[in-house]
Amino acid sequence: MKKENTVSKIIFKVIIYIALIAMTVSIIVPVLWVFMASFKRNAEFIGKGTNPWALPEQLQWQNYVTAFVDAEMGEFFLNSVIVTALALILLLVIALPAAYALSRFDFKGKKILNIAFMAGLFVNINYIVVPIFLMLSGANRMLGVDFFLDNRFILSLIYASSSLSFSIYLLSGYFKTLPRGFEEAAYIDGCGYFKTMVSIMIPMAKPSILTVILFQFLSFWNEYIIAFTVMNEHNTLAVGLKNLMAVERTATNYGIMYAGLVIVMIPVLVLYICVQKQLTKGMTLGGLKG
Amino acid sequence: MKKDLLKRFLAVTMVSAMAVGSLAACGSSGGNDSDGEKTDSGSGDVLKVAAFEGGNGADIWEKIVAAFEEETGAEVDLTLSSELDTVLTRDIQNGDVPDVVYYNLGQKSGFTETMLKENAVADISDVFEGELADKMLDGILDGTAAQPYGDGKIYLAPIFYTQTGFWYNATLVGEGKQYALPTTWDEFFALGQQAKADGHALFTYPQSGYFDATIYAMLAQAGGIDFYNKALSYDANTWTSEEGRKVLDTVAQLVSSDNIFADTVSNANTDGGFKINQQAVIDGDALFMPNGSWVVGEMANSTPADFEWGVMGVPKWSADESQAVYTFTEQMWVPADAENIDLAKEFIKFMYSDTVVDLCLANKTTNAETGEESDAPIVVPVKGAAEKLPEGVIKTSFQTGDDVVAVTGTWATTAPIEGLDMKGSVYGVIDSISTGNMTVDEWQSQLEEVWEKCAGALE
Amino acid sequence: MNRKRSQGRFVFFCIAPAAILVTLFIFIPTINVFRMSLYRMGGITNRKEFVGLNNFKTLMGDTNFLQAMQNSIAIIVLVTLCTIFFAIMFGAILHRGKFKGKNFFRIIFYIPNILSIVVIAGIFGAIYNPSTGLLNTFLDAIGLGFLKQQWMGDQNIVLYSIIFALIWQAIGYYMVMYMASMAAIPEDLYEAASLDGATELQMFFQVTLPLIWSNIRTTLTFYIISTINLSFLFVQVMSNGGPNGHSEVFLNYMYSQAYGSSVYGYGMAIGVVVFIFSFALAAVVNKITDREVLEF
Repeated sequence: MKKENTVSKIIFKVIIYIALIAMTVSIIVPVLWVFMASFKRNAEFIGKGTNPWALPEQLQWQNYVTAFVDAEMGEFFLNSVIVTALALILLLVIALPAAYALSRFDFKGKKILNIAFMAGLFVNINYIVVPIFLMLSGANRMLGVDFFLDNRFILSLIYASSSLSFSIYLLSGYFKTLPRGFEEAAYIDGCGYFKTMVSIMIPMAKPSILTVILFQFLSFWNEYIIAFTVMNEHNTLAVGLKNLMAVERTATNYGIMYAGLVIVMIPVLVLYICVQKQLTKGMTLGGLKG
Repeated sequence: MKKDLLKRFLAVTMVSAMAVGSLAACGSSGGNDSDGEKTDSGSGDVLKVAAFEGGNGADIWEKIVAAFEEETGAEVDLTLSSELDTVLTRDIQNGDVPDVVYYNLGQKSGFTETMLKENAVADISDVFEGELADKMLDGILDGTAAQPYGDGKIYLAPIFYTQTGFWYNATLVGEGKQYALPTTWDEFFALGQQAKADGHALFTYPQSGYFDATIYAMLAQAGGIDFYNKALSYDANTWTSEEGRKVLDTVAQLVSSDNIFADTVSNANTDGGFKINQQAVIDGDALFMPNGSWVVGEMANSTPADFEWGVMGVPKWSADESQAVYTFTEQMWVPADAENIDLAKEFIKFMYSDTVVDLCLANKTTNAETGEESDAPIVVPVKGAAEKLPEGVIKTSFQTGDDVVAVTGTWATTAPIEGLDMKGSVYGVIDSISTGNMTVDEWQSQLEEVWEKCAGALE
Repeated sequence: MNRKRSQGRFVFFCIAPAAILVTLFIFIPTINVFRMSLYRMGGITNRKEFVGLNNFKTLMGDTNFLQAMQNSIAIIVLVTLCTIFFAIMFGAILHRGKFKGKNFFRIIFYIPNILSIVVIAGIFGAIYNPSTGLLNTFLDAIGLGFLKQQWMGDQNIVLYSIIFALIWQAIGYYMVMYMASMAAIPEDLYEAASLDGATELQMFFQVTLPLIWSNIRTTLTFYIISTINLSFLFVQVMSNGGPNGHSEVFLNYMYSQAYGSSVYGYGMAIGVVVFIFSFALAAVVNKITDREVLEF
């Protein structure tokens, strides 16, 4: 009985390892492939006898130089950092109170608001980008200014707005699972609503806040449709990459294309690996509720 | 712990509040700058030229613009983009209309077609009156590629052209080579049998859209010019007629698994895969493909030094017919809302001047990777331009004999039709024919339907 | 009474900024999309003609749209089911399993999600290539050459090739989400179950799954929305809807109509239908999966 148990346990473990390793390989191999491809010359991509899995014949560093210069990566990089950071801050400052109020209080019109935010989830940014552009350019003309387009703050605001629904949905789902006891205790201690929210409830939502940050960071960083439409001089890195891709695709310079991809990918990878530790901590923090 | 977090949170919020203030200031001051530019440009005679940046490179446009500025003293504001359709859509919506646009018909975005359907392109017939009328290549202004509405008025100026046909691996095919060059379809398919035995597929196509020139040429070949012109304006009998059916049957045989390079359809639908199909011709995996002279430069990076390109007209059904060759033109046009229409017309006229003809013939593209320059001549459709090309396969592709009928034009412009994907239903089907998932009968009835819809929407 | 009023004020100030922004940047543009769907317009210049509900009438008889709809539904269903299965499985293994390298696996699994779509397209282009692709050369190498396929060229297979890429990309994302809520399950529940003699598998079904159920429900809505959006981006870069429209999805069709066929208003009508469809689908799914929320 006991022996059988350990045998099946071992089999179980082996299966688990196989599944984990298969998934890992399917991810690592292609990513390394992109790194490798970014060092290849164009002739190594097409032509007789080219093998996509062969190592580069030589390290074509020039690909990186070309990609960096052509796509104006340096300048766009800074814009991307500013816009992404600002959008994340705006998002949290606006979404957290809204999610908290919607999930922990009963008031008139709550149902309608919930449905309205929920509906926002289903609006696809791909097709509202033109109306947004027209609205901003209309505002410029009406007020006789040149403020609303090509403005990093406005872009951040649009990013934050576009993910408000998602974040409120996620955060309020989490707030709902928190026990009532904490708030009641705080009120008895004489804490106001605001103080209770800021100093007690929001810190407890740290795991889901981190989740929101992680998800939205990536979507803001990689976003190019809105940025391309409403920005002009102050473009972001993703737009720079997209321009590079468009130019190199007509010219089909694969090596340069992949070099561009790596340049955009590396900061995200590095940041992700750094944040990873923090994220693990955040997740275990959830254990404080028992 | 909790307090710590709060402190950090507050700090972040405050920083963000400050950042908002300073950034907003940034944005508005940046805006003022560009505002200043705009008022500058509005005051003088500034021509806004918008050109698609494609395989020809950006260099040629900078040179043409510089030459125009020197000659006329006008100032030109040049916009180059490989996504010109999106850039211009945005600009036009913002009220900033360019004066001259170089963007072809037949692009995926359908930008030029949309402008035509919205009647937002200006009539430029008068540009081609007088001396230019004689200078232009015969017939180049007649087709629907210059007169999209078929009303005798020219809206699209053909500024560059190439002859299309079947490009082939001349290392394997040609006089004294492994295979003799076929001229009729029978010889062509017989060659296919022979090549198959040696492990070469007869045919491949970069993408189904490349069949446009082939089908135009085949229609003209099968039924003559009158039949062809009627087909372009959606004659109901186009595909049910014997000639039309012959075209469809031949295409179906051409792409059947007997003759096609096996990976064609896979590559045709993946990103950048059209190049892999083109490479198949260079590598000898396939012998022929429909293409234009640009393919030589496009594939230069991966073409071995000893490889030879060849080009021939689309095969004929019988040897004594004259050869129909489809001429592919690239178009320049003036938006109806342009501010400087007169200067824009001057610019178009300038495109046919000897200066530009020579600039275009001398065009080179730079390989972004190696920095090497290679010849990429562009030919302006004026008499004598093609003769100035250096000897070689590209010049061959422009040669016209007595026995050659030049065919131009595109499917006529109709009012917009909801739910119709013209390219998909005419050419996209070829993918399914090739894989055996669709029959010629199904293709034929689908085309009949499309033709009925289009004929109904023709104004 | 006073407390009630101050609560009202607090709630108002919490929600107002979010409500204003969503109205301004989401709802008003959406209403504009609805309005444009009633016009016949090219979308570049201002010329337009009011056609009422004509665009919607045409849409109902548009076989291309119906095919795109069929493809989209197949993608949504398959991607959702497979991703849930793998994401929960891997999540549970990494959460409860006692072995080395848990953190390593978690870091790796999330990577597909941070790659840009263009990288993923490049990767799968190299995998699915018929002659030199990893998949076919691998099958040849292990003697299963007869399984080789034209992964992107065969119109009966292409949709599944794209679905595979979508699942590959999504697993890590949802796994992290599920793990976040698994981490919130108190350890003593497992201890209690363990004392009762439950195996790991039983614990998974009796403790883990019920307690993350509300989280799974939440993600179902995300699956619908993000699959509609991502399938568009994937198809656009991987197959462009081909061969012959057999991998066309909703938004691809919307794009080709709005921006490629000069019927912008019609494209917007498709957008409206997609919006209503996804909203209705999410509502139905939400209703079906409604269970009592377990608290711990």
